[in-house]
Amino acid sequence: MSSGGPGEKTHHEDGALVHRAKEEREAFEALYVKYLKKVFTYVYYRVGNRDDAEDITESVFLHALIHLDRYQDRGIPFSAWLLRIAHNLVANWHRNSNRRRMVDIDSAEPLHDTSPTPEEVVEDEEERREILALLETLPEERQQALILRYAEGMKHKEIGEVMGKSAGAVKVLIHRSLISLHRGLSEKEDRR
Amino acid sequence: MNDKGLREGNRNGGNPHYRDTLRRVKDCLRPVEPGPEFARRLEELCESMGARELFGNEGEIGEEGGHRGIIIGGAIFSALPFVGVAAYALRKHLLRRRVIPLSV
Repeated sequence: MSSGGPGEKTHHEDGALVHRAKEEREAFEALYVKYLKKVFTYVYYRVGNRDDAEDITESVFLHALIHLDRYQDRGIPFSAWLLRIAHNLVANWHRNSNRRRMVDIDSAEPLHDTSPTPEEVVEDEEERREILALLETLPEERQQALILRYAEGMKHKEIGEVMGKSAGAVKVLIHRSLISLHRGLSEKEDRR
Repeated sequence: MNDKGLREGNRNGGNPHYRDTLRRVKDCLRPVEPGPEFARRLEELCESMGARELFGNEGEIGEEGGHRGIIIGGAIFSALPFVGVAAYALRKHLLRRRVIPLSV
């Protein structure tokens, strides 16, 4: 706990910012700037399209702003609190709309400019769609763990704080999720 | 994990390697930049909402503080007669015990 690592430092910084944000809105802007990309990335991979990801991300920040007084710094970092809100709103979105299996992976736009040959671009996009489609078939918890680990670059301990699990349990969950994806890919290869 | 992955990959023969799967997942799941237009719009929305909501909260806190003041004030005011009685009893007690020097 008292390791004083970078995560610990961020936690303290965030705690101070949240404290200030309860009095001055400029401090909330600092939190917003810091975590917009993180929240958007998580939501984007959970819903699969930009439009819904923007709507949900907007809701996450408004919800956080309105209920900021409810956030108590009791060891859970602010980023974990935000991601929990995001997780709940995404779960509502999946529940309310019957779009769970209709996420338009096909129309997912490239995440970055790819200057290689058109064939390579097509191949890369094909591969990406394949992975995203497989990710969609995983249970919600596994999707969440993989997105937080690889898209957000979070440590096992930090993911545990979001998901309410120990670092060890997260590690096992990620490993199992990767095994599932690996099996899915292997089955696809077999069918070709 | 990697050793286990290697074993698993080898068992699969020509199929994608476990480590290859890991690489593909990492390549696929990259951070996504929100559109600048959306980011600006949301920032403006937060600004306007923030001012109102935080002001509202301060008002609530003020109201709560006011209630608390009334309760504490009431308690002190209610206790005053007892404080008076206690002071009177103490004075009597002290007077009774007072040693009056007698002139020799």
